[in-house]
Amino acid sequence: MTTALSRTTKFASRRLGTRLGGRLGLWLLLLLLVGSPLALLLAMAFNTGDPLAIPPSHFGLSNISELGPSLGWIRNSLWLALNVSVLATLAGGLLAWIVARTDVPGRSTLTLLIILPYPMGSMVAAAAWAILGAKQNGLMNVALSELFRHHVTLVNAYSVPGIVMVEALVATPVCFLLIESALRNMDSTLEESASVLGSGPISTTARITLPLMLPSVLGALLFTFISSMSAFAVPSILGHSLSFHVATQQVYLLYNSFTPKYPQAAMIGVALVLISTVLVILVNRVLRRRTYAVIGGKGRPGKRVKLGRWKPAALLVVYGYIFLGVVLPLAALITAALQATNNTSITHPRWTLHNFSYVLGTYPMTQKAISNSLILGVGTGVIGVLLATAVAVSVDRGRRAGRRGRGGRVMEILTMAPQAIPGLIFGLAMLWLILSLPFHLYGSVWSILIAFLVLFLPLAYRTVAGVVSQADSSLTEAARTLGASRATATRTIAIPLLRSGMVAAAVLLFMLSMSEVGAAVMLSGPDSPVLGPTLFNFYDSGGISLVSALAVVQVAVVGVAITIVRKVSGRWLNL
Amino acid sequence: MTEDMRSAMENAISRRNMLQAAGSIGLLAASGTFLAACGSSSKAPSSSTSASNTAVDLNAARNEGTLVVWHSDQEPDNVALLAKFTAKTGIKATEQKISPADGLAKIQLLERTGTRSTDVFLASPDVHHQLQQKDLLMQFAPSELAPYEARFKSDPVGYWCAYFVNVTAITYKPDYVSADQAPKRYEDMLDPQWKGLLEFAGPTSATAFVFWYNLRNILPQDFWDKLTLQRPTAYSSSTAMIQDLNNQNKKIAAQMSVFQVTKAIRNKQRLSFVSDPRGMSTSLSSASIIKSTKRPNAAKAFVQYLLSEEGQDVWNNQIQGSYSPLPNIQPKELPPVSGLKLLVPTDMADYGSTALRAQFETMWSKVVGVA
Repeated sequence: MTTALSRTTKFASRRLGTRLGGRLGLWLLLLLLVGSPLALLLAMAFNTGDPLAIPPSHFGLSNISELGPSLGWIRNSLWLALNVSVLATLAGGLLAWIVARTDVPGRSTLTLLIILPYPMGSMVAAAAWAILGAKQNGLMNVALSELFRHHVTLVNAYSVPGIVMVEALVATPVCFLLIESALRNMDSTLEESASVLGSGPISTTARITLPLMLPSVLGALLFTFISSMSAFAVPSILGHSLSFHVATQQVYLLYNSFTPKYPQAAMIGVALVLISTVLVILVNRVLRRRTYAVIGGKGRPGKRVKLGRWKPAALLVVYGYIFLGVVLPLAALITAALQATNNTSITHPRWTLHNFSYVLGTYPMTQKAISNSLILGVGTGVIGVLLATAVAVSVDRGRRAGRRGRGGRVMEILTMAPQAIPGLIFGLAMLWLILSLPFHLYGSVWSILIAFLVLFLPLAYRTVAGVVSQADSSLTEAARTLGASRATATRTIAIPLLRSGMVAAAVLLFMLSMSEVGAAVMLSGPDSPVLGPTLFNFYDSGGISLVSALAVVQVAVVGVAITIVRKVSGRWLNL
Repeated sequence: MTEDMRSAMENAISRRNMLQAAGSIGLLAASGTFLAACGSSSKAPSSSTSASNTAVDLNAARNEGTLVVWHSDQEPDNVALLAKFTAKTGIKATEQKISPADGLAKIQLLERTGTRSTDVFLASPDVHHQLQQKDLLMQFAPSELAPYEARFKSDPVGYWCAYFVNVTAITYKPDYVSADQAPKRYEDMLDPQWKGLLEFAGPTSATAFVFWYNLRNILPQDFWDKLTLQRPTAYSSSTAMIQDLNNQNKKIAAQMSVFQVTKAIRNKQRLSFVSDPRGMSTSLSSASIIKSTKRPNAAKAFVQYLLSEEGQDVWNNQIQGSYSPLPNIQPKELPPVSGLKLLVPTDMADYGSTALRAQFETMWSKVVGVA
């Protein structure tokens, strides 16, 4: 018995040692990958000496006062973010309700079509709406003018409402995903009780469903708000002819200044991070005041609402969004890509296949950019999920340990911190980090991979963390106590339990990596072109017909890749 | 996936946690700075000045690896140029589009940390002057430089040389603006009919800077204030300007590079420009070799090719369509350069002054409404 006890003690102490070692390694990795760029961003923001110095040698507060001229840009960013987040949350919420809680047919296909604008990316959407929505010569206005035989201006994408609309079209799928999931899993008991007690559908929705949905609706609102504060491609393309500029454009201008103004750019970044942090705290305060335990997996799934004569109206809403978010942009890009000049016309077109032959054959960067983007997508997906899972397991163990788990909470905050940083500014911080390393990574795909891993870590972590918290670790522990090796226990118990969350996170990271522009534009070099920045640079110097051809290629690549991933992992996914 | 993403938003983050994280980040600031110090102190850029004025060894150039060219030209144009160069010499080359100012900062940043940037940098003389002052450019003076006038090359010769003359003009689409209606002089752009319809380059653009630099002593003092009231729009490229002229979002491009006119003619499109009798603002686009290049032979071979009569014909007549610094190269689509009055900066110490540029960026940001 003594021997058995001794063996158990040895086993337990060896396990504790391995865990502590792993946890220390994880801390060091997070501090290097997440903490260092944030620290460099802070240091640069307060750099009052040589703007090119890494590390800065003179510090002061004078850069705060230089925020003054940028306040208008920051205000515009907030205004844009507010409008986009409200619009996208409303649209996403309505679409989610129709798909999750009503009897519309073809829900799986509709879900896929609704989320498609997200991986297509804001750059592609901006290019498409530049063709579609120009006030005078936009394809939509020209088509309507031809139809009615006099000039009609239905849409003006080159306007502030136009920018809001395009950003909202791209952001809607995220809100849809967030709210649809909550609606689908909501326990319908309370709704049914209200009905039995005589409450009508509208009253039930207002007094029962909406309050229950508050966390996911606020979550969608917050996520979209923070993302939209980082908007860069759409305001740059559709807003350049307006006096409406946003903070990320100011950062880009400061970055491109003849006299480098990196500290001022970093200070704008810090200001945006502070705003995001305050918002996160406020939203969490609102949510903490109430309990939402009725949303869970134990209740009965909601009964679908029979729409009856309202079904055509509901389908009109869904197909209307798909038309605006997918069909029209793709049609515009294909039309422009098939034209010989940059003056896209449907009345006097000069058709050609030259643009496709150029981007697929002559232009050497396309193939490199596609292969690099695919490598980055897969790399970010796989490594990002492994890292996120390690963090989630570590945080979960800490949480189960009670008060001793405070370190895990700090780890979680550190992991979530990049969520509040606009991609462009994070790219700048990563550039400084990459240049600070004792080995050369600048200009390689690896530097972009590191940036993507950190930038998308919060989403990966959140996606995996939910599954980890639901999985019962006692099963793995039981297997190990019964003699299974760590590898066997992980392979046969832990991974099957976490598989759905991990695959979902990998797909999400893959989609985000394929269309990211802000961070990649700072880090990609001639040997590491990726699709987002290539498209952005091409817009400046290739003309709309070549941009469109490249955008169509990007959409095709993303579409094929997602289809393959869905096929491979379809049974584990909600997509 | 959807459920888990939702939970991301619902997870409460307390203020205490925020403070804890801020503390961690604060501590990391010191460690990050230390890390950076270690990184930068351990590296120093090396140079390859030994090859600077020697003849080009083409065989060595072919074995040096793929030549990297940073440029701010139209990407398809540069791709076509590199393809011609590779076809002629067998030297592989790749390009990256980067603004001159971004390139200037990045080269300095990368050199400080011992990281290689580019081999050849195609930018503007003011940017090259800065790099020359900081001893970051290789001096290379092949015989191809001899026919170039002194105003088109560095002093001393060999640090940079112009490969095209970027003449900018008041430009419009005759489909939407008649020749009678179009401005004839710079001051005509102050007419209220053009309010909100004028296109200019942005505050970080060399084109905008050279416009102001060349005309600041020619135009009335209050021209710039009056121009501000016209609410002109800043653009990052002439391609974006063309796009908005096509869309009729704007009517007049005040600083359009005339190669866009060449391209329009080649594409059978209508684009017209006017020449103010007092002169057309002109900047130079110049080529240089970075001193620390790992591919000195390939870089020299490229610069030699670009500045040769053959290279100038390829670039200006077959690809881009600008005026060449060489008088015998003339795009057939454009009027003879001898008939135009060009305003070209020549005092590089003044033109390349950082203080003057900073003053301009502040002023121009207000003019084009990006302040």
